[in-house]
Amino acid sequence: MRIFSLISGLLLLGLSGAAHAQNRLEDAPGYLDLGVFESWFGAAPTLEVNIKGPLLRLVAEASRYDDPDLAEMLAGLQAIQVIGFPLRRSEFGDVARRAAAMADRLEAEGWDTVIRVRKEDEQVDMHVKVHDGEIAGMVVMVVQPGYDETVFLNIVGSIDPEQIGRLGRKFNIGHLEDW
Amino acid sequence: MRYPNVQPLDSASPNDWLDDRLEAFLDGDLTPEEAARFERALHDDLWRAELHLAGKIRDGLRTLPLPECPPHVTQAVLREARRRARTEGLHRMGEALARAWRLTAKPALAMAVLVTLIVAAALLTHPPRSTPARAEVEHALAEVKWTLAYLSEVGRQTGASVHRDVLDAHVFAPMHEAFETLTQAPPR
Repeated sequence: MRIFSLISGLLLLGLSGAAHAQNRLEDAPGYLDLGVFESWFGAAPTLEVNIKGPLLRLVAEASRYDDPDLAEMLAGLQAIQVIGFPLRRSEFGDVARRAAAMADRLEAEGWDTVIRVRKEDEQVDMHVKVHDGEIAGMVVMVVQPGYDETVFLNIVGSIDPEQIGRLGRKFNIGHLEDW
Repeated sequence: MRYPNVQPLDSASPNDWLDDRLEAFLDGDLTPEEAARFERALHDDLWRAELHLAGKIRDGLRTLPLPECPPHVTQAVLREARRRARTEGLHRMGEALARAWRLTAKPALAMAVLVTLIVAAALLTHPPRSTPARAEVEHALAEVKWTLAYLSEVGRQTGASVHRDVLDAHVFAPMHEAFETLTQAPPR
């Protein structure tokens, strides 16, 4: 009986650990640790969005009445992460080169490139991660001199780009502080 | 009074031995060996008369009316009996619980401890978070909308950039060059 109890307990502990490991955001196929970008700048981001877990669920519920489409889209997400940094024109080349290297790394890791723009003063990369036949994550890297113009973005979860575009067009972009 | 000399089996005097066992003989409580020895003594008339007298006394005592026990003594005895019954009952219940504890409660406690450990582990690995305030949710909703708008804007701008770049580089420029070539070519 004691052995049975002990084995049952160990099994429960093991299952609990396995379930915990499965639910870790960091293990999601569409997750990217944005912390790597912070090391490029040596300063804290001036723009930061980090919505995940219970807060994301609450946001979805809060928008369910006013915007059911938005609530439906958010219900499929696990996290929304954005960080932005000021960038001097003199720093553009270095950061753009690092971002291009990161884009190559993402491609090597199975991310598909959707948008790639290389201009003299602007560089944009958009990648999506396809997992089990559907988009499981998106990474956007925008490098541009200016205040808050260099932005790195990661959306984790089931994504419909068309839905994002449709929803995004409804909202006017401005400074985040104005919202 | 003269008593016959009876050979004792132990160190006590024979008459004392017989006297001590007179009541027991009447009650039939002597061992067969003692009873046989006692019966041998009854050959003596004196001891037969003693036995007869003892029997009459016993019968007389049995015919006496039984005195009634005073009520307060009866109550006290009943109280004591109930107290002992309760004590024994509690004792038996305690033993039963202890037995049940040994048989079932220990494994159940072990499982309860394991479940507690699992919950504690889950709480340690998933620290409880306070429910976000309404203002925090509204701020987060605004951030979500901003992010979606930003994404849409990036798509629109890059779409325009790609469109302009592609057209400029691969359509307009070649067409312009071709037009220039055509217009600058010497007439034949």
